[in-house]
Amino acid sequence: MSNYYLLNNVRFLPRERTLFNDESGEKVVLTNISAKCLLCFCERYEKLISHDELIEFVWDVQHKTVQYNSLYQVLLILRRSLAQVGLSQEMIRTLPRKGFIMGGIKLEQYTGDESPEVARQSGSEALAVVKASIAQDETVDNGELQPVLQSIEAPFSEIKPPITSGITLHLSVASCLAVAVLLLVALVAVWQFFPSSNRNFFRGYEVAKDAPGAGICTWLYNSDASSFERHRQFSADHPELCNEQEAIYVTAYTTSRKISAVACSNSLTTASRQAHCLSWYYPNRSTLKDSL
Amino acid sequence: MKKKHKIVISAAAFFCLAIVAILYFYQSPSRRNNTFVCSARVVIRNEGYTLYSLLSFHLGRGDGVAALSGYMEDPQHRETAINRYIHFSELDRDEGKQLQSEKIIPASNESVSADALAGILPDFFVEKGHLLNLRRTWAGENSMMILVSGFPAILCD
Repeated sequence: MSNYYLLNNVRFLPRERTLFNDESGEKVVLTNISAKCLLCFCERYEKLISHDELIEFVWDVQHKTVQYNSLYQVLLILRRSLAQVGLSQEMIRTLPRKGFIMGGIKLEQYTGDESPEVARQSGSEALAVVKASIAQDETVDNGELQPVLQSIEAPFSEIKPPITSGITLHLSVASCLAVAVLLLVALVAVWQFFPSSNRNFFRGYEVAKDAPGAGICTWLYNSDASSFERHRQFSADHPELCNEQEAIYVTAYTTSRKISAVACSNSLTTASRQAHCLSWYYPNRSTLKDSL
Repeated sequence: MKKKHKIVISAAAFFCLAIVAILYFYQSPSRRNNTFVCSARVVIRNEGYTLYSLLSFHLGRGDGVAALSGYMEDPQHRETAINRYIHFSELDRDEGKQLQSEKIIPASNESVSADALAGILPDFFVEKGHLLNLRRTWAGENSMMILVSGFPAILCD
């Protein structure tokens, strides 16, 4: 998937759903829907896109259930995000009864997915090719080639071997304390800045093998509930969810009248791909006692 | 304490401060400013009424706006449109967030009555001056989720 420069200094990375201003360092992570919307505008730059075309591109197979109001809200959020990285909200214009058009910017497409390892490898290959050509062709002016070689070798010269000093490390109370503090800071940083699977809310949910429709989809119930009766009742009342979605996470307690379900296109606990989910919420669903 | 120990401890403290400073400036501005955007498809059902909606939250540093659009189906399967914005302020709490509605702006094409809405939605979405308690958490591959009264109610796309 290509990346885009929306201006000389603002990048749009569709895969990471990110807008990045190189000058100010401002970075905005878009919602999945907003990113798709912006990608559609980039792919059809300065072309008129009708409401239906845009909805079909963004919502894909679910586009028939989406209303124009939802689209306008997504555009509102997208325009705010654009403004946050220093772009004009007017770059996406609404043409009444016709659709939308993006223009007035200097859009450039580029592929920026080459990893540093690949770049380093290709650099090494280029270096080998140049050196081989020098060895074969003695008539080449070394004075001309030297700057080229220096420019290729420069990134590798920055990678220096570890410096081995002759100082013996004496473990003392102070150094142990320093190491402990450093480890603590590192742990806090990892916990705070890199969300891990341990923070997945649905991690402890149990698969309900005896739930209605369990062969078609996967029903998962919160394991901290004292009984799964209300969960099973919900599953029995909503067989349609099982036909539409792959994994349904039901949260209920016998002590509360509330019940919620998050129905997703794929598992939130095992699958690595992005899931599309629909949330169900009953603020006051009748309990089993009421129905008896 | 020996001079050597003092030097080591001072160096460790300085190093920790440097790491904290780097981490602070490395994180995204939205995270630093405690802002985030969430958009989710939510179905709410209560006593025969069902609300099919797209709910978007745009939380800033101390305030934000929520947009709610969709339609409501009554027990007789009649549908009425809903489309409104809720401007809110954020109140500090020990856990999670507490939002207070400041201004409700219904769109011109909204046809649902306030009484019908009050039966299905929290008061926060219906009248100004009401509170909504939220807690943010994570689900799946870095998807943000909002808990309402401890229940997972809104999973952001």
